[in-house]
Amino acid sequence: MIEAFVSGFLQVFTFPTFPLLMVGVLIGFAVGILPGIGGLVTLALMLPFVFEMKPVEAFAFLLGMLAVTSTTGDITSILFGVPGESITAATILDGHPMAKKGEAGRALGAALMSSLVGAAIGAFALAASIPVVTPLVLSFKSPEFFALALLGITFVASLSGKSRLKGMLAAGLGVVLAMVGLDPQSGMPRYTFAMPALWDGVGLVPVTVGLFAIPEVVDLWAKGTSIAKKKVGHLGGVWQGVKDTFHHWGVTIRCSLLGTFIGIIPGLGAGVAQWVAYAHAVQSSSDKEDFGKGDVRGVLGPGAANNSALGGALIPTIAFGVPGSASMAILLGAFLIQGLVPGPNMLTKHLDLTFAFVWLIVVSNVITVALCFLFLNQLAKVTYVRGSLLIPGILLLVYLGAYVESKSILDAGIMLLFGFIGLIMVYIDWPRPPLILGLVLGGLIERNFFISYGLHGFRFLLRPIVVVILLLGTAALFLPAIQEVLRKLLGLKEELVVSEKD
Amino acid sequence: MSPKRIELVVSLIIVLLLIWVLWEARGWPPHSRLFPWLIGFSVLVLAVIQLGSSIWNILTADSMLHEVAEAFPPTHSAATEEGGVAFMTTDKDSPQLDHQPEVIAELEIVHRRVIGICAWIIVFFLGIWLLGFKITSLLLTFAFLKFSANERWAISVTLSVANYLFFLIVFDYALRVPLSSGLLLESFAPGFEIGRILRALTGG
Repeated sequence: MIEAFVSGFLQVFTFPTFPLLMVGVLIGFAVGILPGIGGLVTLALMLPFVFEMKPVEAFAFLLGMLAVTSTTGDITSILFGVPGESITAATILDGHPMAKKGEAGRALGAALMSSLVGAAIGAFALAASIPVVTPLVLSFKSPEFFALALLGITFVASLSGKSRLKGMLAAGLGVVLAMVGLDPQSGMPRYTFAMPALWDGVGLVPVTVGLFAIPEVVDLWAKGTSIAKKKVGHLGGVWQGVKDTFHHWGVTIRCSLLGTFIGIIPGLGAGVAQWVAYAHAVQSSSDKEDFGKGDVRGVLGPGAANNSALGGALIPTIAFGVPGSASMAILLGAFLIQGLVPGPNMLTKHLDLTFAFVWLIVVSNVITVALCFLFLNQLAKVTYVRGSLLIPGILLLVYLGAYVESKSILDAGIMLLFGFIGLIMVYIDWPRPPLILGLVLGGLIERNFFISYGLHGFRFLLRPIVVVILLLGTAALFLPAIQEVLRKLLGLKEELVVSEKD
Repeated sequence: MSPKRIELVVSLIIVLLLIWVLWEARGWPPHSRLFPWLIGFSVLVLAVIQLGSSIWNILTADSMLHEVAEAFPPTHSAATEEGGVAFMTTDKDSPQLDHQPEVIAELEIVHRRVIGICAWIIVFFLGIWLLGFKITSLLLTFAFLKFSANERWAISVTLSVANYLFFLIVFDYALRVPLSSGLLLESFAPGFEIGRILRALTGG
């Protein structure tokens, strides 16, 4: 294991892995700073570029990009009060008031250093979890992986809040979409409309890019977004912020661990971690009056947590193929593009790659923080770019991304179709990540279903671990609904009691 | 159309689609249709529940609107077209009433922009299909920036050329991604390929 740990580290610094990591980091940089273009969309946009890469190169590029968006997203949140990323919204609460008080540099220093600490803690938590989860994963067979894939879908569908039914339906449609192509059992074409181009199935990239990027482009244009309207003066006091990170080391470490733990729980992720961390920073402080008015601890908590969540979210994704968030669902697509199957192989045969993930997160964050400190003033100016200037380039990349996988204009057409489907889903408030997850996991579900069914018939559903996993999935799906009904009933009861008293 | 009505249409389309998915599999060998039927029937149940829920939402929303309309006669004929927004603006005492024309004007601008960008997205697809990536990156970038975003000539030209060079150098020349030359060029001038000419000139 130590050998794999060292090998993972060395792989990061090989050619062309390191240059690709740098490219990913630079893209993540820009994406994180620019509100309106999310890390999730960029991850989808960048998927087609990894086809020709080796696994470690592909993940250097993708993880490098993903790992830094939350770090640079803090910059926009602090300077302009506009979240650069949805996962950096909590940083605004104290970061922006600090900027207004003339402490922008200090807030940025604190955000950047806490991000680095958080990312490192999350990444090493991933490394530390490997010896623990390996025996568990190795004891799993096809029936358990079938149940886990269903659990993954259930968790993401349950993320859809009040529209849980829509989430489940979207996930189900994703699985149906995954059935397009040749039947793995008999080799006969299924739902291909007599088009041989569809024999390989509906491409993950055109669907993902269409669902996520097109609505984003429409949103960018509809709002007429100009990134930032306020001018930023010279940023001083950055080192004070760095010192704050270590002065309040308890908050930084606790929030990093909290972020990691929340990241592990499928369906939560950095978006939730930042708010829980902020709440913890407030609760655990004896003097709370400055929170919301520019307390540096309100920057340290979310800054650390939204970065550490990535390492945590990778644990269930790599070990069980259960993605912790929407970005992990797309990253799972990258695994499949690279011919990697999450699960036992990632902890045995490809263990060095798994450890390379750990180092990629750490190294990309170190590079980002160093670059941020060097070019902080210049970076702030990137936010003056008008959204309209970006649209043609994004549109061309979107189409290229869809086209490049199969070199077929049909995929560009599929992207267009799913772009409009994504637009409608946004308009009627239907969740999109479950559909992607259904498409990604559909093949795995079908394969594991047939192996399990072939070996055990439907009795495989009665295996103890399968039963436990399926019960967990059912609980994740119905518990919130039951709680809601109970709350309503209790509320009604209380109202009746009050009205009777009146 | 309001989101609720679109949701109803979408739910109906999904139900019909799933019925087709199940119907299509009926003639397949039992082993091949097992999974599609298992998934198809499960998802169909969810889709039917969703359809029922959409119908229920429309009915309850309609009856609520009817009740409110009786209590507060609408002050603007266009109000009922906008669903939730209309509901807010029917109240005479509502502070939103002062801003009603602004809200409607703003919504109209947003709608116009959404339709505009959707048209551009389709135009880009047609451009790539007919003219290929490289020419589209030059022509349509310029057309979008100049005529839709109303950018200055200098910015429009510079960004169009930058986009074109980016595609030419990065994808065509360096990464050698076989970019489509477009249906028109492939049909009428099959030998014309800028990237190949550039590579021949530079010995790349």
